[in-house]
Amino acid sequence: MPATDAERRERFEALAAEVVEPVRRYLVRRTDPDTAEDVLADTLLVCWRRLDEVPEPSLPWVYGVAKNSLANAQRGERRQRRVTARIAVVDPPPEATREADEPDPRVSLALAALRKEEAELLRLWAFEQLGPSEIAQALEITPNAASIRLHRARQKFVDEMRKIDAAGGHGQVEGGSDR
Amino acid sequence: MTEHHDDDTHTDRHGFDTDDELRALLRTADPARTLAPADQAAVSELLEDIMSTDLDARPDTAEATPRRGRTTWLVAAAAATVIAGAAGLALSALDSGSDPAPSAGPSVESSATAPSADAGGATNGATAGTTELTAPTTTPGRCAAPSAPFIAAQQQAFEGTVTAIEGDRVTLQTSEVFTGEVGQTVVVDAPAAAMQSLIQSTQFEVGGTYLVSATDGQVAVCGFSGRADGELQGIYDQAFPR
Repeated sequence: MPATDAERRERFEALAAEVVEPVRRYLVRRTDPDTAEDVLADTLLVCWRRLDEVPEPSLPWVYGVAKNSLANAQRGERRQRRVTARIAVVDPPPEATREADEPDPRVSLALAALRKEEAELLRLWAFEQLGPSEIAQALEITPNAASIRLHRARQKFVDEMRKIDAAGGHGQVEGGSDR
Repeated sequence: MTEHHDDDTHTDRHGFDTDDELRALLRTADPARTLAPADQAAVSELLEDIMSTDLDARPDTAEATPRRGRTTWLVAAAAATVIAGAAGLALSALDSGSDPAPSAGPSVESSATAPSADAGGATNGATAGTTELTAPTTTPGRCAAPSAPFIAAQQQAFEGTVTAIEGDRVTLQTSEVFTGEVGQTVVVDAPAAAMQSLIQSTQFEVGGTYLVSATDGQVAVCGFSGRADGELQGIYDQAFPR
């Protein structure tokens, strides 16, 4: 006989207390609020059903579940969403310096100029504050690959930021990689 | 862990000379920066709903998963899946027939013309020729909940469209191979009695699209193979991330 219902519930509640808020934020960063809410429920349901497989630390693994649940939810809309993402890229701002805590529009531009996978690595690193081995778990890749790709993505991001600055507010950054 | 190189990141005005600075800069664009914490009561309710779901899944109940019925959050999630499925169907219909249409429910039943547009075309990962599988002669009365690790551990897994059901044989046209060696065409043979339960458990229908996994040449039934939709699709996605 496996763990009793009460034990199982207790374990799940402890897991939920740890992951609900981070996963909610993870989803809000990547989709609209309604989808985020639905996918959070889906993700937690997977955690509940696969409670015995949840590793410790659990969060990177749960991010992986959230990633797959989100992909599943978005299957049909993906193409449209990409188009929207491109339209959402606006003219770069003229100023190069900003307060550290103020949103810097160049960041969104530079992220949008990266390949989807690269931008996602940077989000996991900066927004979710994951290290390479945790990123590896969330993306189901090897730690070594995560480390190398993260390094590359950072460099490309810095390059894109430079390009945006070099474009100097002429609105020439869309498309990105012509030099 | 590889240490990072600073290379030529010397431009002070960017404020991303170091990883810490770069991270801080990126965080200014975090869409969740100003997100308030979730309402505790709503979270508790959600958790309670989830913990009241049934952990066992049986093939007989594959059609309607009652566990979703109880909860509003989860009902919403299921509805989203249905809508996404419908959108996917519409999209693939516009796609000049290069994608096999996803299963569209019982109404597909009567369409004897199987989608064969991709018969000789760019199928994904399928080897030439025919793969032969059998079905188990008995189906267990009770099944474990389908899980991604179990499916990932199968020797073969693929998506295919049923082109024919004749006597003891179901023929599928492979549209995507997830793992293992799978031919363009897959035939599943089963003795008459087993065939009946195979068809019941997977609900094979001509024209329908299915996710099928197999080990040692035997199709995994019991909820691990079935129509390519909703829940099973999600589990396959987890088992074989793209």
